[in-house]
Amino acid sequence: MKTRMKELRARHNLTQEDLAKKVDVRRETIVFLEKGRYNPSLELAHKVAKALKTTIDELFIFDK
Amino acid sequence: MTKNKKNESKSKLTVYSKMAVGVLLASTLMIWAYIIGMKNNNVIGAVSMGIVALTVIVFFIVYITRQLKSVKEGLPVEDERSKKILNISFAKAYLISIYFVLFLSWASDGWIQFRDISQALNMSILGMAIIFGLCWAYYNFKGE
Repeated sequence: MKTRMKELRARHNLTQEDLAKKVDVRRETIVFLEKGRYNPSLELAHKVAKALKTTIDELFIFDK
Repeated sequence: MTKNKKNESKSKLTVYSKMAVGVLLASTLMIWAYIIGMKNNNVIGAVSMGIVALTVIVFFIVYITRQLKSVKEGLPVEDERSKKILNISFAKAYLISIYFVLFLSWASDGWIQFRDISQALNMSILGMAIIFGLCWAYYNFKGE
């Protein structure tokens, strides 16, 4: 799974810590999400998309 | 008291509880290593147990420091990823532990000599704990 989280986070001038606080997760979770090494739940994906003012479709790109 | 303050207090309590468990576990292992070394005059056994105790201490120091940092930053100490990793680690550790106990039972007939049943039981429990720690570290660094 690819993600545009890093790009969108930078566009909103948010640090990983800021985003973690907004979606109420640990900073490590944001790190793994940005690297595409963690598949979030639908709830977390929705929270992150909302925090980055985008949609889940635009945020996460599924290859398969 | 606001919701954030309540969450912070709850997180702090969780971390301090984990710290207490870590101190108890490390102390038990150190005492165990001392007993093996002093009472049974088993230097290799004492050194091995000392290494296990030191590994547990280092692991807990790193773990607790990271958790306290999260509390200071106002972030949760547990989230969906950490809970998921914990569940996967428990499941894998349980499965591997069955084979570990079977191995101990097979080895006790040959080249491992247990003093009594309690020592065999202690070794099994310690092995299970180490297997769980390794599984947790693996999944934590792997991602999921």
